[in-house]
Amino acid sequence: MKLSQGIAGLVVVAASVLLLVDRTEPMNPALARLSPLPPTPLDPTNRWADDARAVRLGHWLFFDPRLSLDASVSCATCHDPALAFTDGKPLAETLGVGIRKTPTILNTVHSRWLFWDGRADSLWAQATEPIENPLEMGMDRLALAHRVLAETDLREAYEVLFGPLPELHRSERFPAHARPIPNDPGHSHAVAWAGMNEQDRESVNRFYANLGKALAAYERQLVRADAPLDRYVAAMAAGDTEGGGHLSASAKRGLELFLGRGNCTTCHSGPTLSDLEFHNNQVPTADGRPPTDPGRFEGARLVKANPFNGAGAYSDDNQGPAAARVRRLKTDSMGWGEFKTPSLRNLAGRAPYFHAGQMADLESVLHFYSTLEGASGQSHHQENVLRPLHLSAEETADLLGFLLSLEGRPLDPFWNSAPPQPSLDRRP
Amino acid sequence: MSGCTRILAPVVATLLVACSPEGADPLPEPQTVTSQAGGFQARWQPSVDPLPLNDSFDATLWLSTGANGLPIEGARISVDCRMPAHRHGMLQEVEVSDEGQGRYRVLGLLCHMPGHWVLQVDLTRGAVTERAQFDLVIE
Repeated sequence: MKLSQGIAGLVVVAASVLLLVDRTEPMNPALARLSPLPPTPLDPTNRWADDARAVRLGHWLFFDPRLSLDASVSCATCHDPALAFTDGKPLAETLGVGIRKTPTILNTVHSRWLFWDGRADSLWAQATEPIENPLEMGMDRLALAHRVLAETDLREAYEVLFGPLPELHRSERFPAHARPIPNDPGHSHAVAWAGMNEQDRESVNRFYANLGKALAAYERQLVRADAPLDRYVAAMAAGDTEGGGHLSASAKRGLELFLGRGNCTTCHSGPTLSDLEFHNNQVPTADGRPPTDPGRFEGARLVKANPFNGAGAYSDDNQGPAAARVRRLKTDSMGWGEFKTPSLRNLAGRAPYFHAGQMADLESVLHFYSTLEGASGQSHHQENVLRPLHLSAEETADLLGFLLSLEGRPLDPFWNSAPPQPSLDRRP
Repeated sequence: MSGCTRILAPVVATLLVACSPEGADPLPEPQTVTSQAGGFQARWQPSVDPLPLNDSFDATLWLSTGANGLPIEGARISVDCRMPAHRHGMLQEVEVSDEGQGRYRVLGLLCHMPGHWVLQVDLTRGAVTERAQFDLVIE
């Protein structure tokens, strides 16, 4: 073979290799990280998380007002499926008025921390709290246990799943009302709780955690994914540079702003469009006064002290990753005034926005980030991220168009109201 | 992605994996820095490459004396990551275990925001604490 033939052959091989190399423009990694929403993660701390019977019981309980002291409100009272599982109010309002807005439950299975201040680290730990909050459902765990015992449908559904209830008929050991109240040890419920022996307290806690785990099993179903953004990213990944037409021209410009000059992915990163952590975004307080809500500073302390956390005795994996996350959590004062970055998926229907419902609509939210008008200041906090974006009217409309492209497919309507009964099966 | 690439990509990927030791992604080369006062050297190697955004990872740290390069065993060290531009750091504390011969395992690093981070290693010997730091970029 002549040298020229050899060289020609090499050139042909090289050209062939080059032709085989994908010449599609690589997708912006920041965009690729926004989609798709991954499958529902496992929760080893809740051994009933994916048990169909627990899903059914939790589904029932979510809509059952018997979980509240006067049987007047259920979880769904504040987490209304018609309002994206929120209540549409600036501050949560049931038996009393809270200090923060009711957050959505949609997609919270992807959360690292629950509540605006992250004082719970799992859906099941979160679910136990509103039931005993005097401003929410006003119940106490002993009264709830007695009620479940007395209501045949609830007792059967509970016992078929979790086994026998505590020996509640032993009234000398199990008072009618009792719960731990660390910051008010003189309260009659706290006194009654302190008067119980440790084993009985443990059995009631176990019952209470089990109800939380059933509620969590239901809440794991409340996922809305496959938004226009997801279809756009999937089309882009498949080589369609137009993204399948799933985003309007305006929404595409909004996406570009979101990833670029807006620096939105500094906090709203990842497939939930949240870093799942906490920041002080200096949003104005409702009354214009300096903020007094400690937010994450207190939330971090509370989650470490919570007996229902991932490292606690009621966790079904208290040596695993969830336990390490709680153990390693810092509680320093940097967290003062920080609140959880909310997911931007499924924003429609969740108004008003921010942790105390300070902004009536998304236009107001964007106006705030554009101008930082009325910003409450860094206060105790030193994080230095926010800069006014100085958005034009067109840019605001584009960002809004992008935000509205984050609406996932609707839930199966089955999940939006109570099921026919609390149990899938009956006691043998 | 073209049809041809779609077909070839898994083949190429399989070949690449087959050629790497135990099929694992290679770890990044360890980096070494000298402490600010020159009293010790720190070498670190993360458990993953690239460094993940907002996901926990671990690292190995080797400490040696600045003068003669002897391993520093049983060191009292503090490890943290900071984000200078944002004036905050990680939201969790790492756990450090001494594996002997100047080697330390660092568990639970988590950089939750994209950008420039600084990994700080503070070594205390007697009344003196010295710092060695590495620049990290999280994308």
